[in-house]
Order: sequence, then C-alpha cells, then structure tokens
Amino acid sequence: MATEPLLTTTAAVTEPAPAAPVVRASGLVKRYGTGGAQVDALRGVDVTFARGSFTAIMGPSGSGKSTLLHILAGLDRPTEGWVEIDGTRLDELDDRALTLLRRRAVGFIFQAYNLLPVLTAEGNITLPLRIGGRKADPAWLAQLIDAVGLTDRRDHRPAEMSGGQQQRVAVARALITRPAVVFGDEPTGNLDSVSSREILALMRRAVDDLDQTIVMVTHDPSAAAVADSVVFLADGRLAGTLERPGIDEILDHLRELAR
Amino acid sequence: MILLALRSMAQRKLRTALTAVAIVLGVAMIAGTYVQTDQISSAFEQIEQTANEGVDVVITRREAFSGDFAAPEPLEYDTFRAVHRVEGIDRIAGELWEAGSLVVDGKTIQSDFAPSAVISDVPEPFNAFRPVRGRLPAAAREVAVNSKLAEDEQLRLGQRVGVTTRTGIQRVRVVGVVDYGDVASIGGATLIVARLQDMQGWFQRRGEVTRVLVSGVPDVSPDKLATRLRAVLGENLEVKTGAQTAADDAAEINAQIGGFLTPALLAFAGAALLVGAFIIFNTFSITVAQRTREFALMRALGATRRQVLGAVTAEALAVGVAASIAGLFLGLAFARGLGALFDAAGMGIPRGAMDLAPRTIVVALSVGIGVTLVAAIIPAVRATRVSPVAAMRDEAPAVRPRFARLRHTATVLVALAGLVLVLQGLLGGGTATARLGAMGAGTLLVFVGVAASARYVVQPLAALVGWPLQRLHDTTGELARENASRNPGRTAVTAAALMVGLGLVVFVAVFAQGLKDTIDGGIEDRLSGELIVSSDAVTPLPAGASARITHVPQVDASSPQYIDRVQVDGRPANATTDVLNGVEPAAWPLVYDFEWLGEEVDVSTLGSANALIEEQFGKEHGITVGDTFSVETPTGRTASFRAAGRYRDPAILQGMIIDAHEFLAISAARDPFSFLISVRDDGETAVAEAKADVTRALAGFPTAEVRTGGEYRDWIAGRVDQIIYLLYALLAMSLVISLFGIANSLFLSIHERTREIGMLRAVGATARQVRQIIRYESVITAVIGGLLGTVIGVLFAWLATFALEDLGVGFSVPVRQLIGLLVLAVVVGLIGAVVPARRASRLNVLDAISRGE
Repeated sequence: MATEPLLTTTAAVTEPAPAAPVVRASGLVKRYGTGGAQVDALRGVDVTFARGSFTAIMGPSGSGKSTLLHILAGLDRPTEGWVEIDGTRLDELDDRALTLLRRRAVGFIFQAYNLLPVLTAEGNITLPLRIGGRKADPAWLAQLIDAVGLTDRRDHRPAEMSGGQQQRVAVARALITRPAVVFGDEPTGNLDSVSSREILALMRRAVDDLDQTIVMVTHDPSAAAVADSVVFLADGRLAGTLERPGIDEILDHLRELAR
Repeated sequence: MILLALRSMAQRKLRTALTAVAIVLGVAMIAGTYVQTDQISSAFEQIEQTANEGVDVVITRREAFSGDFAAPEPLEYDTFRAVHRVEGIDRIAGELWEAGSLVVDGKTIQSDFAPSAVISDVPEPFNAFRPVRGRLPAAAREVAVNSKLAEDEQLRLGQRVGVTTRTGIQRVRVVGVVDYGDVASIGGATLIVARLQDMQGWFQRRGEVTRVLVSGVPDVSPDKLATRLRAVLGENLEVKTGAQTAADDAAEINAQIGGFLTPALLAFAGAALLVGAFIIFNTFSITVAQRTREFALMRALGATRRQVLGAVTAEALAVGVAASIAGLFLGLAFARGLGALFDAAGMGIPRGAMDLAPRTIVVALSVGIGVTLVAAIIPAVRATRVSPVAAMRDEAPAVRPRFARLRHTATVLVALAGLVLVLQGLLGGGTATARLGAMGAGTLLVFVGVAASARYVVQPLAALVGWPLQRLHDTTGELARENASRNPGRTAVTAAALMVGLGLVVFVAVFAQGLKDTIDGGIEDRLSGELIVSSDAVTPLPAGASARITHVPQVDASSPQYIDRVQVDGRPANATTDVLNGVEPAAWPLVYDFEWLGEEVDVSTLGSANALIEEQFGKEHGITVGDTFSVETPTGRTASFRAAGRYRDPAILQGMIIDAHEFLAISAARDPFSFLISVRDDGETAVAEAKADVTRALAGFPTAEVRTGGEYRDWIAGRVDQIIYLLYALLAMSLVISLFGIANSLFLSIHERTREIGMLRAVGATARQVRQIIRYESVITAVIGGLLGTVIGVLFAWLATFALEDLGVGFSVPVRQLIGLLVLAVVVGLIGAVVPARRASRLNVLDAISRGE
C-alpha cells in the first residue's frame, strides 16, 4: 500500500465548496435503564457532516462516542432527537426501510473486520451489492480492489489473510455501494501501526478522490489527525471541534477534557 | 467440577432442553413399548384366566403340531360317555367356538384383524360371561353380545339381528349384553354368545364341541382328575387342568408378543435412540468446540485432564438422567398413543391396565443414560485435549482429532463391517433371533459408519443441493451453501440424524413396492379366472358358499382353495413353504395358469395319490417329480403323495396342491379361504354382470367379498399399505427427533455466527434475508440427510429382496414416493429452521456486532 503512488495526491486542494450536509442529527438523547440505574449516554447532541468530509469523533471512555456513531448509522435508535441521512429522516423508517437505507446509503468499517469467513475477498467486497440483488460494476470493482491492493488476493478467504489485508477488504466493502456516508468504528483498533497507516491512507483517499463522506470513532490521536475535523465528546455532550488539528493539538484537547 | 457442569447447563437452558428431548423421546418409545406389550400380555393372561375359571380340567383335540391356518378339530360327543365313567366328576359341559359376525341392518360387523367369534353358552361353574344388561340366551335363536359391540352398534335388548354362520345368515334376537369376566378390554374382537344346540345346527357341528369342560367333586384335585381322565381317554385327546391350560395359552401368546411385537417395536425405539445419540454427539461436539477457551482456562488454573473429562461427562450424565426419567413417564403417554395407533390400523388388540414393570424402568433408564454417555464420550475426550495455552490465544484454535488419518479408514471399515453383518443376517444360517440380531447390529454400524464418513461428501452434496437455491436467491443461497459446508463433520452428523429415519422409511417403501409388485404380477399372470371370492377378515369363507357359486349360470368353473399347515416326512413345518392347498382339480386349470417347471401336468386328472409341488417346497424338502413323500396335518392324520408336477409361484401359491377331497380327509379345515371363478363370457360388461350375480347368490354369506382380478389386486395393495402406514407412523418418531437435531445445531451455529449475522444486518441484509439464509442452510442439511437415507434405504431394500429372491419378492423402486420423501426432507428442514431463523433475524444488530470484543 505504501508504495502506491496515487496516495501522494494532495488532499486539501480539491476541497469542495460547502455542500448540503449528508448526515444531520438534532437533539440526540440516549438513555439506558430506568430509575436509579438510569444512564444517560447522550445528553443532547446536534451535529452535521458535510458531503466529502472526513470527521473523527473522539472522547474519553464512556463519553458516548460509540453510542453516537451507532445512532447516526441507524443501528440504534435515540431516546429523543432525530437523525437524517441523505435527506431521509431515520425515525420515520421501520426496520425494513431502515435496513434498505443502510444497504443503499451507509457503509461500515468495524474494528473487528467482520468479514464472512465463507466468502472470498471479492465475495465479501461485493456482499452489500449482492444482498440488494445487484451486480458489481466490473470496472469499479477492479478499481476498488486495485486501490486497496488486493488484486492478487481476490479469491482468498479471510482466514488466509492478515489483519491488515482483512481490514482493507472491509474498506472496499464499505465503498462498493458508493454510499452517502461511511461509518468507521475504531477501524484501526485491531491493527499494528503499519497496517493502521495503510487503512487511514485509504480512507483519506476515498474522501479526496471519490468525494466520500466518512465519520469515524477513534481513540488514537494519530488516526484522528488524518481527518479533516475532530469532534470531541464528553459526558454525552459535544465538547469542542478542531479543524485539521495536529496530533499535539488533539492530545492537548483530550487532556483538557479529562481534567 | 460437577457444580460447574450443572451451572453451565443452567446457562444453556434451551440447548440442554433440545438435546434432552432427543433422548426423552427415544426412552419414551422404549418404555412405551414395554408398557403397551405388557398391557397386551396381561389382557391375554386375564382372558385366558377368565376362560378357564371354574374349570378343573379341559379336554381338547390333541394337535400333532401347531397349525395357524385352521381351527383345531372338534371333539365328538362320545367323549362325554367316556368322561362320565370317571370317578370324582361333578359337572361336564361342551363348549363350541366358531368364527361368526353380527349382521346389523344388512351390515356385517367385523374388524380386519381381531377375531369375530360365536361361543356357546356354558352352565355354571364354567360360564365366564357376566350379563351387564339383560340375560344370557335361554331359548332358541337368542344371543348375548359383548358390551363394546353393543355400544358401537347401539344394540337394544330384543333387537333382531343376524349372525353369519356356515349355513348362511341366521336370524337371532339380542337378549343380553355381557362382559367377559372382568377383562378390561378384548380389543376389537366381537363376541356373540348363543345356545350350543343352535350353534351346532348353524355351523354343521351336530354332536361336536371345541372343548369339554370338567369340574370335580370337592375332594378331588384337578391334577388327580386330569390323571384319571387321561387314563380312560384316547391318545388323540389332550387333558389339562384349567390352570395349566390358562398358563400354557397365555405363555404361547406371550411368546408371540415377546418374539415379535416387542422386538419389532423396540427396533423402532432403537432407531429413535440412534437419532438421539447423533444429536447428543453433535451438541456436545459443538459446545466443546465453543467452550475451548473455558476449558483452557480451567486447565490453566490447574484443572487436570481428568477433571475436564469429569465436567463434560457430568453434564452428559445429568442430561441423560433427567431425560431418561422424563422419557420413562412420557412412555406412559406413548403407550397410549401406540394403542390408539394399533386401533386406527384396525388391529384392535386387547389391553389390560397400564403398569410400569421394574424391567421397564431398569431398561429405559439404563439405555437412555447409557446412550447419552456413549454419545458424549468422544466430545468429552476431545475437551481434555485443549491445551492451557488456548486460553491466552485470541482465536480459539480448532482441536485436531488425534487420529485424523486413521479415521477415514476406520469409518469406512465400520460401515463395511455393518454391511457384512447385515448380509450375514439376511443370507446366513442360525436362529431367527441371531439373524435378526446380526441385521440390527449391522444396520447400526452402517448408519454410524455412513454418518462418520458423510463429512467427505457434504461439500459436493451441498453444492448440488445449493445450486437451485442459489439460482433462486443468489447471495442468500450461496451463503447458506457455504455455511452448510463450512463444518462438514457437523453438517454430516446433523444430516445423519435425519438419514436414519428417512433411510428406514425408504427401505420400507421400496421393499413394500417390490412386495406389492410381486403379488400384483402373481395375480395378473397366474389367476386366469375373472372373479375372486375371499373374506375381508382373517376368517375363512363358509363352505356352504361353494354350491351357491356353481349355481350361478354365468359361472363356467369355480374352485375353492383350502389351506392348512403340513409337516413333511415328520420334520417341523417351515413357515413359508409348508402349506397344503386343496383345490377342485376339474375346475382349477380354468381359473389358474401354471408356470410349469419341467413337464406340464393335466391337473383335471390329478387323482387322489398325486400332488403338485411348488419349486421352493421341493427345494426345502429335496423332493423332485416322481418322488413319493408323506405329509401330516395338525390333526395328526397323514397321507402319502407322489409329486406329479412342479410349478413356480412363490408369491401366491406356496407349498403343494392336492385334490380338495384328499385335503378334507386329512385336514381339520372345513372352510375354504377363497374361491377362484372363471365366467363364460369375459367381456367387461359380462364380468360385471357375473360379479353382481355371484354377489347376489352369496347374500347369505356377507363375509364373502366378490372381486374382479383388478379389484383384488387393489385390495391386497390396500392391505399392504395399511401395514406400511403403521410402520411409517412408528418411524415418524425418528423424524421428529431429527427435527430437534436440526433445530439444535442451527441454534448452536447461529450462536457461533452472531457477529456475522450482525454484520450482514448492518450492511443491509433484511431480517427476511437472514431468515432465508438459515432456512436454506437447514434445507441443504436436511436434503443431504434425505439423499444419504435414500441411498441406504434403497441399498437395504435391494439386499433384502435379494435375500428373499427365493420367495419371489422382486425389487422395484417407487420413484415418485422417493421424490415425495425428499420433499418431506425439505419440509423437515424448513420446520426445523423456523425457530432458529426467527431468533437469528431478531438478533439485536448492535449486540451482535459487538459480541466478543
């Protein structure tokens, strides 16, 4: 991956004009349990993500960042507030419609890769399309597989691949449907530093070259530093945003929050 | 350790319950079999006791050997005179038993398999009938009937009904409803009590009785009385005390039940338990694999291998004990169901009270617990091989079987050894019990061997079965196929559970088809007459019918066929070959078409000293054409015949054929089993008219059914089907258990793949698609089981027909039925997947994805 020349493309130059937000959320509250055992994971979060933006969500453990990601992605429903993806209010959808929306408009990259062991790399990449009864455009598929550097591994099963390779399959799988937004849940959490860098570079390239919108939760400042902006969360509330921060800036902000 | 085992079970309630169900049902079948057959035995014991109550000594005709076709010969009244001279006699009475049914409003009341008897009223102290309503018959043409019959037909006292007899329907009046002693049930049997004088007239038994009952004066013991009677009576009479008679008869019936019914039912229970064993094995294998880390942790914390073994074994033991106890009690319900099943199949069998004999409890519990432990032993040993390091590793490593390479050979050897045993049982010599044992053990080994080697064919079969599904639904079909073949051993054993039940069903279906075709072909090829008259019940036809038939103008020729058992040259009778047929030589060639072996014989001039022998009969006794041999019937009378010709017809005319006059001279049988009729004009309408005329001529003998050749074939096929359906019903339990097996391994697989399912849902698979994947996987597994079962069933049926070739049983494959059974496998797969699929589709996506992180 590191030898891939395309990765050297400069990102900042192609920044698009401020576009309509792809993901909007307003007044998100998530409450677990009742009475004395009640826990407020989110206490009123408003957030928007513009098309072609790469956002990292950070915060200390228990800050609610994972809950926020799950609610934004339509995997969980908020107690109060609403989420809109690509112009569709999620709270108006039943389970089936929500599933179809995920299929069409949302991509996922999980910490634990979550590939199907019975399918080849290619089978895993095209899975979201085929679930919808669609065929992958061969040129697009070839381009993606080439971009993630798995051309010679198309027919390998997950068990025959390294963690980094598996996560590259997962990235391609998230991109194959050209979703409105890709959510990453600690996408580099299980990887060594070399593999982490590869994955982050891939995500960066997806944003820069393909105008892909990515929202990722991470606790790794060096991962967050790859994003365009970093949204901080603490105690279920937004706790500041940094645009194009460096690693030190991020660490400072986190230290601030921990205080 | 044991506490740990119990706690782990409590945490996996559903799995434990599903596993246990497999054993519960198998044990229930064992217990139910014993309970039911005990009930039947006790009923017969009671009936025998009742029949001989108040009887000190019973005198009957001595049978040279036990014949199963004809009733024993009656006793003449002279016997009374001899008995009277003996000192110490108090009372004597003659009792007559004949086959006869009640005719109510023109309808003959009889059951297919249970006897319909007319019994003469006997005075006290011999009388066993207790009036419930009305009284016992006192005047001419009065009868009493048993209460079940009265109830079923809603008979009133004073109602006029008919009784079928040797002389046609006799008009009688019902004067009483009686119970037979205090027997709870006499099954589907119908009993009619009439006066002796009436019966002797109706059945042409002037001066004859079936048994002479004797009671002695108080100070003479039955034994002493019997000894005195033996001294004065001839060798041809049997003298036994009442108690001895009851005990002997009950013992004979019990030997039949214990020798056939109980082992047959236990074989079905065995099949069900084998299915259960597969399920236990599978469940424990899977859970041991899933708990690798737990075992590794135990080992890391200092548990010995022995302790790990103990934990798993304790779990199996707990499952086995709980399931066996539950099964024991469910067995009571199963016994009831078994009884209902027999009733539904038209075999009303008498039944006593339900009783859990100690033998039932011991056998059911030990077999249930034993099977569970044996099935769990391999997984338990596998658990001990988990190394403590596995606890530290991220991915749970698969435990490699130690003898992986040997296993392949071993499983094939097991299957082959099984086949050899089956063949030895089928073709080899030895006692029937030994042969059946060899067949049973062989079948078991074949099933186990195939189940163990099936893992090697799972992948290609899954591809084959999955192909149409994939055409139907690309992604879900492919995922289902891949899931089914990703753990071939597991899929193989799950499929094997279904294979056992379906394999046996296929065996029955194929074997029965061969049997039906053989009989069909025999009737088609051999019977040249257009009409057949036979009874629907086990009873023969009244001899009086003979003259009525020949008087019908359209009838060209008619021959009765009498049947009795014979012994040849003093050797014990062979159940299949040693049959004596009596026919009308003049008419026979017109109604039956011989397949001669060697020279053709003019049957119409057979003569009194000649016989025709069937091929197998000749083989059995080393008799060829021209030989003279002697036969003896159960009456003890013998006759010598010269084999005049040899023919082949093992399907419908076994044994030997002689002139009916010679037959009646040596046999006790008075009534033919059938009449074969040829009519003058064999055009379709003419035959129909002739049939109507013969039917009208036989109006006085309603038990006689007139059928054309085609109708007769259908009727035989229907009888065979009745038995087949009974067998299917008994095999259904194995299928039901395999249903639980499929559901159970799906649950376990879903549990393992929770994260995968969560991911599928996250990337856009609908709940319905998830259900579809599980359903298809289940269907693929089930069809693999169905295919394996079909192969084994057809193979077994082929072997069986091969072994029975001498009896003319052919081999034919009922393709449509086999396809139907594969469809059944699909249905089993679908049903087995209902609950697991629902559970999978309802998994919370978030929980599923984050599981195990």
